[in-house]
Amino acid sequence: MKNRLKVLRAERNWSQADLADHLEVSRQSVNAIETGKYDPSLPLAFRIARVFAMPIEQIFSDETEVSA
Amino acid sequence: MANRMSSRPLLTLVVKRTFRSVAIYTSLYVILTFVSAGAVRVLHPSGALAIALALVPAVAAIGIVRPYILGLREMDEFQRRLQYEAILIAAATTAFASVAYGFLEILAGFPRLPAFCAVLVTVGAFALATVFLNLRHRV
Repeated sequence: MKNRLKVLRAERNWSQADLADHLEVSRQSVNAIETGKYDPSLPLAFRIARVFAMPIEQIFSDETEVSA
Repeated sequence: MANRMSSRPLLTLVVKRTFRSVAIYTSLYVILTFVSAGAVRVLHPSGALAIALALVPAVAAIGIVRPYILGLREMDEFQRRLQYEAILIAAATTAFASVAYGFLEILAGFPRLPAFCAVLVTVGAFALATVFLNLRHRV
């Protein structure tokens, strides 16, 4: 699964530690999600969407999806 | 901006507190094992007293598991996944090592080892797996 976490975080001038604080997870977790090594659970994905005030599908996308 | 003291330092604290408790109870387990073995050698107990002395270290073993489980519940989902992977690696290593050494004992005449050696294999494999997984996801 691909995500735009790094870009969205950069737009807000947040460090990984800042985002980790917002999400109440470790910085290690934020880094693993950003680098695609870990796909978050649905509750965490919703929390991320709430923090960025965006729908989930604008943050995460399925890599296997064929673009039209 | 969220309060910086609210989450990340707290999670780090949870991991540190958990491993500190586990380390304390593991030390206690080792001490009680020696105390128990020493008492058996000196007192030459039999029956209920021998059973009680043999089971004394088990009290500390419960102390090792309890803070680990409580700490695991407080970790975030990614940290918990790393711990589950480490537990799986430790369990698989213990299973393979036990079976392999069992055949070596039966077929190749290797010396019989006490059952608690399996615990040493489990703890060693778990420690190595935890270090390896955390290095792999180091930030």
